[in-house]
Amino acid sequence: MREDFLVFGRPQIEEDEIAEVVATLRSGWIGTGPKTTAFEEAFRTLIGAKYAISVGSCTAALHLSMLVSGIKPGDEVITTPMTFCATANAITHVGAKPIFVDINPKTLNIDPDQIECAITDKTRAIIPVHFAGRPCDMQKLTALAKKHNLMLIEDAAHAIESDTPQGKIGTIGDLTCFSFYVTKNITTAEGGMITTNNAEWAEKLKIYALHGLSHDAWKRYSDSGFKHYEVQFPGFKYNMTDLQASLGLHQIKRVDKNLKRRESIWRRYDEAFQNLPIKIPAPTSANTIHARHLYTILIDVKETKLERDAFQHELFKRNIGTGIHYTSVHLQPYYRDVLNYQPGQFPAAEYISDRTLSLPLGPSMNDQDVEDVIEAVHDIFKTRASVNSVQVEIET
Amino acid sequence: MRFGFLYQHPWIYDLALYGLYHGDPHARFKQVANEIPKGASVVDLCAGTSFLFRQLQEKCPNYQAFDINPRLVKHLQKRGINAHSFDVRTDAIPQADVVTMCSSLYHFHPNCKDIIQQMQNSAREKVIVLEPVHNAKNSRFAFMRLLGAQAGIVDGKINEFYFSPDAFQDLIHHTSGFQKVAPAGDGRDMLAIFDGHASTTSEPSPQTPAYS
Repeated sequence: MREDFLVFGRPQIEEDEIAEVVATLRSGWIGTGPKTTAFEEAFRTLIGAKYAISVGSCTAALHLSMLVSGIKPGDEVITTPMTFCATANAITHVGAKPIFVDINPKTLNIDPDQIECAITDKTRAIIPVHFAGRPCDMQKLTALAKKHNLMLIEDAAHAIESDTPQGKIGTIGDLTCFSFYVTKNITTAEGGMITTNNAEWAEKLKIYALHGLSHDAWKRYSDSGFKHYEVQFPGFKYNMTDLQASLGLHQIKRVDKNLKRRESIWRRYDEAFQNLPIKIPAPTSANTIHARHLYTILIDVKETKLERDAFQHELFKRNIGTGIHYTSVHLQPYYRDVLNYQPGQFPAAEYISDRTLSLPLGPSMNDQDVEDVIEAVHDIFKTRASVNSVQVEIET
Repeated sequence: MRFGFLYQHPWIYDLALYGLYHGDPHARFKQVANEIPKGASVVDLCAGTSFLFRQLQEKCPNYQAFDINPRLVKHLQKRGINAHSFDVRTDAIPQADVVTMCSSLYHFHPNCKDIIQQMQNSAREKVIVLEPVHNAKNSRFAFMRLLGAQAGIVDGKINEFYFSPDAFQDLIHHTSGFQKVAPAGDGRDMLAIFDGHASTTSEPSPQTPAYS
């Protein structure tokens, strides 16, 4: 058993970004500034969108996307229940109602074939979530959005590297929201980005993200001289800082290399777990790129003789940190009690919700870390088998 | 062959379904029909009085109903429906684009997975299973409990097994080719869809199977 605890989603921080952060600290300009702008440009280039606007988190990105889309109280927005609560919370922040549509049990993404039944006169947008980095069926989603004149706002928190035959994620929907949270494939500790090809929205997003002040108000204290600003909208404090961007500027350079490492760990897990009584992730669809953000297995008590939470605890006892992505949002008290969602409404999401477990996966893991995870998972089954055989002997 | 009183006459069967589904038994069959592509050939197993046909008669003219109860089959034939006496446990399921079974899978416990796999072997496109998961047999109303219990008596066998949501999910997620699951009707049923495994190049099934 490994001696130290393997933290789930441990970020990979290298000397380059440490030096950049130190340089930023010493520069005297640690708030929003030129490094934030440089990071926006680097991300825009990586994704291939016309505009990239940095914000303080993916939640902020989603909230602002709702606002610039004109979604207002009383509107309905379709999304998946198999997501972090921020997706649904952002919808409620603008007074709209999240309408959940169940997932495809294999891809764990929203089932596009079930969306049309949920569309009403009040529907204004669809927010697909590219779960774990597996891109949604963008062909069907764009066709649906076009047919019903709906906004397509993508939650790409897991999907920085994801690609589809319709284009790279971040270039297809009207607005796409990315996350740079600690555990994400690029991290700025906290942070987010919105990509769009719409110049008007891009301009609005910049203004809304910084108190609603006129464009580039952050420059008012720069060496180009003080500039007066105007409040054009009662905006938000959602701006990214140069300290955060200092991390992102170097993380982004390792995206391709890190994806290869993630793919290599993924293949090793697939190979190591194929004969165990657990479900491993479904193969990736042809012509798509999976961002390999989360490796989620399904723990079924009938097969493993252990509930998912007990299985997670067994891994914890073996010094392996894990995550649960996610408890279906419609089962959370607010959505259940206030919006009247009930257990049984989204059976595929509920089934996954009760059984899913995310194993550590990331470029900060060395080969020994990966083998430790594999050994711990196998050890649980070996231990259970020996416990069960002892029980059988006692009973007989 | 002994059946519960629900199956003694088509009218009783229809009335029971109206009772069990609070006056609207059609919603759940509409949901099944929505999953069937226009023009698809359909084999409807354990069809009863074929509520599904009422949703499909214009959309899918190549529809065949199969049931173990000769009274119900005769009733369907009188209505001009292509219906046949059939025992799912022993007869070979004819090929079709879509093979369906509504509210009957529990009768085949503990062989439900085998039955679904047999359906898959005969379906060129998909298998649709609609199944109650909050059974009337557990209702707080005595009359509903009676209806639920009677619905479980087929071929002299009194059924003691009924699916719960967990038991149904457990079954479908452990059956290969499972595509999707959705609540149906008023949430008392679940609808599950599976891949069809029959060759798409094979000849369409004859309208009247040889054994009927």
